[in-house]
Amino acid sequence: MRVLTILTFLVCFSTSLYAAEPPGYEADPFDDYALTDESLILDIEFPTAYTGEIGVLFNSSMIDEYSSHLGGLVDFTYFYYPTLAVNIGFGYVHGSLTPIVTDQQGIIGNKVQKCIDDKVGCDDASLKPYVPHYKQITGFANVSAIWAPLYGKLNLVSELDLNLQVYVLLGAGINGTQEQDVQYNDNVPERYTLSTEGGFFNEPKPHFTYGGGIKVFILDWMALRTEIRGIGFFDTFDMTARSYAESDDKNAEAYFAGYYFVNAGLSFTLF
Amino acid sequence: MNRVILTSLMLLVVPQLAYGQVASSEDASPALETATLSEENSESASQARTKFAEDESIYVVQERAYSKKKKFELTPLFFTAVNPKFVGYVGLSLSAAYHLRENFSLELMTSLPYAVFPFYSPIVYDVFYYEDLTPERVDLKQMTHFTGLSAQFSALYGKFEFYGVLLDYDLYATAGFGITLTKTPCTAKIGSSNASTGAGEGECEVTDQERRQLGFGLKTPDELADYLKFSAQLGGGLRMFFTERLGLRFEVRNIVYADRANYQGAVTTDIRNIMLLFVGATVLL
Repeated sequence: MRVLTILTFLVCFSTSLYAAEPPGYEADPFDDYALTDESLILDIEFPTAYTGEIGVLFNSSMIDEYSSHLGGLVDFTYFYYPTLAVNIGFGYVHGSLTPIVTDQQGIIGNKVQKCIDDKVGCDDASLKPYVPHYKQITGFANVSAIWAPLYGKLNLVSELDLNLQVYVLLGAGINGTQEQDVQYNDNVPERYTLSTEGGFFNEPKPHFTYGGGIKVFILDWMALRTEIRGIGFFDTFDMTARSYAESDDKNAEAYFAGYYFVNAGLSFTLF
Repeated sequence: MNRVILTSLMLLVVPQLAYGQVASSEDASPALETATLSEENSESASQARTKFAEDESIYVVQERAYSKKKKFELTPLFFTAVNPKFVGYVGLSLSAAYHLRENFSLELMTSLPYAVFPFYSPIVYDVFYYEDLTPERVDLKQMTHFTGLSAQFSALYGKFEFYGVLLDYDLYATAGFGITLTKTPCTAKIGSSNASTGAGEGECEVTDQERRQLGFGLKTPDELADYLKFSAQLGGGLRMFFTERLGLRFEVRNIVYADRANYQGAVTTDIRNIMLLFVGATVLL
């Protein structure tokens, strides 16, 4: 992840420097330079300056480790400059454990099988996976700065142009977390049941949010939006222990827990 | 004369349809601007109109700055895995493409020898340290090389405006097939100072670092079919040129193959989906 971050930074930085100088095209490969005096791209059909919009987005996690998430996000964006905006977002996601945890050959499946084989040590606490990054995100609220330096047009077919805007965002906020507990249960085929406690902002964590996306303008008042957004926060975990019974808060070390979401939906211009 | 009248009519009427909401009353349309050109400009405008009519096409995103047709494109690329569930990758590759048409090309892409660096993701270490578990053996196999021959279709193109600077780009989809080479986990040989297994189980030399980390090493699979895999490659990307010859390329490519690991007769299989993100500088020759 660190490599990817550095690479992204370098690419953005280097292309920004490069783009500061206009591209040096000399030829007219399609013989169409004389068609108009001014390129159509300079006609910003959907100017964003001083506009406010509300976005309604479906939210799904990606690159899942122990948990996957599905949910929704509502956000409000105000552009105080054509390329700069502030974004306030609220979302709720439902977390569920991935097959790495829940499969018969996964973490819980192995623990349950051990319980069945040994017939000892089958308390619920020992069935719960003891791994970092096990927490699930519940609700979140954040404020982000948006930088949308690229306004573009795409030639969808030869007579239809799509207007689009590419943006990156960086911000901070707060999110709730929860953990799934495991109970041994002889009455179900898989021999365990899962339960969670906590709601929207249970065990809140301050987080960073970062990402980027693309907005495709459809109508004057509506646009399609797709973005990839990371939510990362510092959590603690006792790396010296091997189970919850052995773990001690005094030995807990901080680590960075990153969750990545793909958001897709519509945004509606309010003013 | 008829041609000029016909062209003038087209310039007046067609942009209103094609440009749709672009041509507003206060923004003079290209046709109207052309109609008010001065005498010395009218000759070149007339030429433009003639070409316009001959071409019989109206390009909404016009004035494309570069052409790829009948050109070779050479691209060194850095890549990293997008979805490293158990195994992540970083490395270098090289792509050579020949553009048969403006929107169609054939491409050969290969990872560079000794420049693919696979690594296990944190989840492998976490479940090993805290839960005494390891993923199935097939999930621990690593891709060490890939080569693919693909067809690239680039139907969509456009422009970005970056603070007044125009950047041409085109989007493409790519599909093809190729081969990948793999390595499989192995336990330490009997008699080795790092032996971690009982008699009859050792397979390879394991370095001290490997021994400390996960307790196993990696080796070339014994069977050719487990080592060399035929793969399908699907992806899409964006290329953006800053001159007629130099640009940047971004691509996401999924390498799919049926993988298999055989450990002392216990066979595990999986369909591997290795999604790689490529970024590179590209040159049109």
